Formats: sequence, structure tokens, C-alpha cells
Amino acid sequence: MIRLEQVGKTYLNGTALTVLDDVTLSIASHEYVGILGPSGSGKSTLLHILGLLDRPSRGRFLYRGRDVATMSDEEASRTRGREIGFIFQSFHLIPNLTVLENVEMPLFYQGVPAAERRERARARLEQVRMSHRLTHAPSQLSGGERQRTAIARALVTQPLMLLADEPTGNLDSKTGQDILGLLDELHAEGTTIIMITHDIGIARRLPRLIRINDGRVTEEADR
Amino acid sequence: MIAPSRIAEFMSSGARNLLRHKLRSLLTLLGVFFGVAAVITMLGIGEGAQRSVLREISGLGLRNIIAESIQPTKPVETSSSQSGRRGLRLLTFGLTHRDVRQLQSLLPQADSTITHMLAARVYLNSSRVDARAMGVLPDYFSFFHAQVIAGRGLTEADEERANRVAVVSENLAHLYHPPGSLAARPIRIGQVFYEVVGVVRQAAQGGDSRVFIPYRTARTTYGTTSIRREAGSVEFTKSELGQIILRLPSEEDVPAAASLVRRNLEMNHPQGDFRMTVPLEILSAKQRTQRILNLVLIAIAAISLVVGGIGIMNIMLAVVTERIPEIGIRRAIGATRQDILYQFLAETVTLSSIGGVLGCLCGFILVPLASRFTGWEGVITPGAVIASLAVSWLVGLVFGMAPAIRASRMDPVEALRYE
Ligand SMILES: Nc1ncnc2c1ncn2[C@@H]1O[C@H](COP(=O)(O)OP(=O)(O)O)[C@@H](O)[C@H]1O
Ligand SMILES: [Mg+2]
Repeated sequence: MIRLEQVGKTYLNGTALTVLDDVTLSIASHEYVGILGPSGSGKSTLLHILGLLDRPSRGRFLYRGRDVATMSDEEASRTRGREIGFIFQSFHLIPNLTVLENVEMPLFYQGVPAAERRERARARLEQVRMSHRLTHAPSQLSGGERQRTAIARALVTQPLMLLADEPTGNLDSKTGQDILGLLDELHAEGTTIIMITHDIGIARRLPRLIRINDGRVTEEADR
Repeated sequence: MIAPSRIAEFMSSGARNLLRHKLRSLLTLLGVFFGVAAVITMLGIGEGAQRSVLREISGLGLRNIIAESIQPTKPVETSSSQSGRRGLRLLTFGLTHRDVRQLQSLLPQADSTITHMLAARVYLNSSRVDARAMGVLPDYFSFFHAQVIAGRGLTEADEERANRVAVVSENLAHLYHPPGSLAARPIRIGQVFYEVVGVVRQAAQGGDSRVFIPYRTARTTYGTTSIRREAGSVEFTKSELGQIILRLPSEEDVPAAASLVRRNLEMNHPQGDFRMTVPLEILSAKQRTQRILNLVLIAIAAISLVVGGIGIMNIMLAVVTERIPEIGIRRAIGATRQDILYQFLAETVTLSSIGGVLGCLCGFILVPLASRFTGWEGVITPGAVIASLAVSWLVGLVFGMAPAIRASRMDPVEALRYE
């Protein structure tokens, strides 16, 4: 599903900063992959590239067989909306919108009619046990509820792949377990999941683990 | 292109964002509000002024050319007679029947009529009435679209028999209450009484009060010579005709005919004892000044709209910065650059359109108010409403473009990292 070949990323503001270097890896459909590395090692940068939000400075990135370098910005945006769901450490809900509206939003950008949007968003919120908070603002929710809302938003388009950037980083451990349980369920239902973490304990639970250090994929352990 | 239903969704979500910051939104749209209120008020008053000018002048008959006798400004000797007593002189001036014949042969397609202006004063019940008396032919009223609003007009029979009857202009009608009492109260011109038989409404007359009597009655009763006594001297003036009025078959014929008439009269009256009035020329001159005035007013309104637009742009740039994280999120969940562009444009256009609608409503209050205080007529045409709404919409589009483009060009990753 995804293939990176000697991918590098260098930021050029003032001094050149190489964040990713010579990354080569493949991820297949239905995998559940952890990316483990210390803070600042380039995990988020890698995830952004995998999610078509960012582009490599070097190397080749094939997304479902397609060289991403040949995709227009619009194409990448549409693909992202249709096939990829993001979950962030700090939830990234739109503060002005209700829970339901936040979850509807990806469908809005796909041009789904309002009634259908609402129905699908409701179904997803039910799946993450958020039906009791549909008209609440994100600021009125607990961290766990926010993340469950964000997961519903990521799922509402029925994406091929979920990208989670430290989804439990801002949650207490019990709520974190709750969220991880939810992700496990989704994987069991067939969703491809790539999850960043710097928590070795969380990483160990996953079927596959990619270690990243200083922008280099130093270890790829299959178990 | 983007579907209308999507535009509506962008607009409604834009409107909700605006409602979240009511005071800020209100202050932001103030500029457009004032601009549009100014535009619609100025268009309204400009239109009103134009209409009243048109009505006033077309009352003079846009197909008419009017020439009238005046005392020459240059002192002329002509037939002034110094014989007899000192300080007694006879001044002959003005248009003559010869002029009428010449003009008729120059312009055979034109109808013509003549009037006889009287110097004699007008009295009702032995009190002076501030009105000018004139002798007119029966067809006079048709030249000026005058309507008989009470009693009757002057007839051929009145003319033939030189009847002592009079028709008064509308602004004298208040002297007759009830209107049926016209006949009961004869009017006096000089020393002669006339039975008042009718009242006419003549748009062009403005505030002037007139008493019309048959032409022949005027000629036979008062002659062509009038006497004016001034300190130490008596002046006799003699003027054959008051006015010559020519009516052309159509307005297009007027300019050429007017210059023909002007040339002919200037040739025959080098002393300048006549004055020409061409309503069509006055109208186009007035319309020219009106157009210039309108342009100035529009320019002022445009400046206030530009200032309003800059205000919107300024706020929207701040709004974009405020919402950078939101832009990142929207891009992450599938929004294209264009979606982001439309989102912010929709918000700005909604804002400026609300300003436009409010400004329009304000115009509906301001125009009648302004016309009350200035006495000008105020007219809000559907065109003005549409134009000002379109302009407010356009202001949002133009001045929202820069902030929206900035938002759409934002790098999604940087936007997501932005704190
Ligand atoms: N736009 C940028 N310009 C310069 N440096 C950046 C930019 N974005 C990220 N970085 C740097 O890249 C490194 C990796 O960042 P990131 O991928 O967020 O790491 P992680 O998610 O593993 O903590 C960090 O040192 C960060 O400061
Ligand atoms: Mg990170």
C-alpha cells in the first residue's frame, strides 16, 4: 500500500535541517504498525509525508502504486480526504463547530449531501460512544471524549488507512487504554493503522514496530 | 466550478463564524454599510433631481422653441422720439408679425402661436393680485400641455368676438372657493373686468401666476403701447408681440430649427430685443450638469466603499492568522486550497453583503429624509438597489481575495504545528 525508497526530508530555513534521511520501508494493507522514537526524531514528519500532507525532499514515495511526486496538490488533498484519516495528539478539533459538525466536515469536502453527512457522522459517533455529546463544543469535552470525536471524524470517510500521531499523548493512562482499545477494534475490522508513539509499552503491543532515531529508520522489527 | 448548494453551505458556515463575533463583525461591515447607504442615497437623490428637471422642462414642451420680446439691453435710437415734452420717449422693440411670417416660411413644418404680454396690473375685489396677464390664442394651451382643471379654456368664439373672459393658472385657483364661484368674482386687468371661466394647470409655469385672456381682446383693449411712469419721466414702450412659440413635429428637429430661428432673429434684431428659450437645450444642459454631479457623488461613494473594503480586508487578514490551526485541520481532513479560498471568500462576501443589505435599508430611510430637508425629490429605483447590492458583494469579493489567498496558500503542516 505504501512504499518509501530512500526518502529524505530537509527543512531549509536559514540552516538546512535534515529531519528524515534515507528512509526505506513498505507498509501493506491491514497492517497495524507502530512508529517509535524519541521526541524530535522525525516521527511526525514521517507521518505527514505518509498522509500526503507533506512531501519528501528526496527519494521516492509510492502511495498505492502511485508516485506522490506526480500528484497535484488538489489530488493529494482529495486522496487524503477520501482514503486517509488523521488522529492527532492534541485532537485538532475545530473549536467553532459542534461534535457532530466536526465529524461531518470531511464528508463536506467530499461533496456528500448534508442529510447523508449527518447520518454517517451520527453512526460513527455512536461507534465511538459519543452519541450523548453531539451538539457539544469541543471545549466542553474531556480529553478522552475529544479524542473519540477525532477518531469518529477520521473514520467517517471509511478510510483505507488511519494515521495516529501519539493519540494517547495528552490522555491519562486509563483513557489512553480506552482509545488504544478502540484502535485495536478498528484494526480487527480491517483498517490499516500506523501509530506514532514514544511509549515503548504501547509500542510493544503492536504487531509491527518501526524505530526511528535522528531521522533514520534504525530498526524494523517483525514479530 | 462550484455548485450553488456548496456556495450556500460555505456562506451559512461563514455567517455562523461571523455571528460568533458579533461586535467585531458589526464593526467590520460598518464601512460597507456607510458606503452602500451613501451610494443608494446619492443615486436616489440624483435620480429624483433628474426626474424633477425632466418634468419641469418637459412642461415647457420639448418640441417648442419660444422667442419673446424683451427691452433691448443696448440703448438704441430706433424710433424713439424726443419730440414734444422733455423726458417723454417712445421705445419700440421686440418681435413682430413680420418675424412670425418669416419663421413660418423658414419652418413650414412647425406649428406656431403668438402671445401678447400685458403690462396692466391684475386685481381681484380691488386688491392687487401678483399675476401676469397675457393674451393668447386658443391653441396656446396645447403648446404647453396645459390642462383645464376647472371650468373651460379659451375658445375660438372667445377669440373671434374678443370676449372679456379669462382663464387663470392653477396657483390662483385658491382665490376661488368653492371652484364653482369662478364666475361670481370677476378679475380686473387694468380698468377692465373679465369673467373667469376656467383654471388651467401648466407644469412649466412653476410659481408664476398667469391670467390668460383672448389675444384679440388683449390687442383691442390694451393696444401695443404701454406707459411706464418713472421719477420725472414717462416712458412709452411699444411691442407688437409678446412671444412667438414654434412647435416642431419631433424633438429631433429642434436643434436644427433652433439655430435657424436664432440666426434669423439675430439678423432681424441686431439690437438684441428678444430672448430665445429652447426647452430641449435647457434640458440637455441640465442633464449634463446632473451627470457631472452624479459622477462626483458616485466617486465619493466609491471612496467610502474602498475604505470599507480595506477595513474588511484588514480584519480578515487577522481572522486568517487567528484560524491558522483550523486551516491546517481542514487541509488534513481533505480540504483543497480552493476549498479554503472559498471558505474565507464566502465569509467576507457574506459580511459585505450584510453590510450592503443594511446600507440599502438605511438608504430607504435616508432618501425620503434627505428629500424632505432639501426639497429635492428622492427616488430609489430597483436598478439602484441591485447596483448597490452588487457593489457590496463585489467589495467582499475583491477585498476578501487577499486574505483568502493567503489562507489557501498556507502550508498544511506548518498550519498544524502553529500555536
Ligand atoms: N517547518 C520546519 N522547519 C524546520 N524544522 C522543522 C520544521 N518542522 C519540524 N522541524 C524539526 O524537525 C524535527 C522533527 O520534528 P517532528 O517530526 O515533529 O519530530 P517528532 O514528531 O518525532 O517529535 C524537529 O527537530 C523539529 O524541530
Ligand atoms: Mg511529533
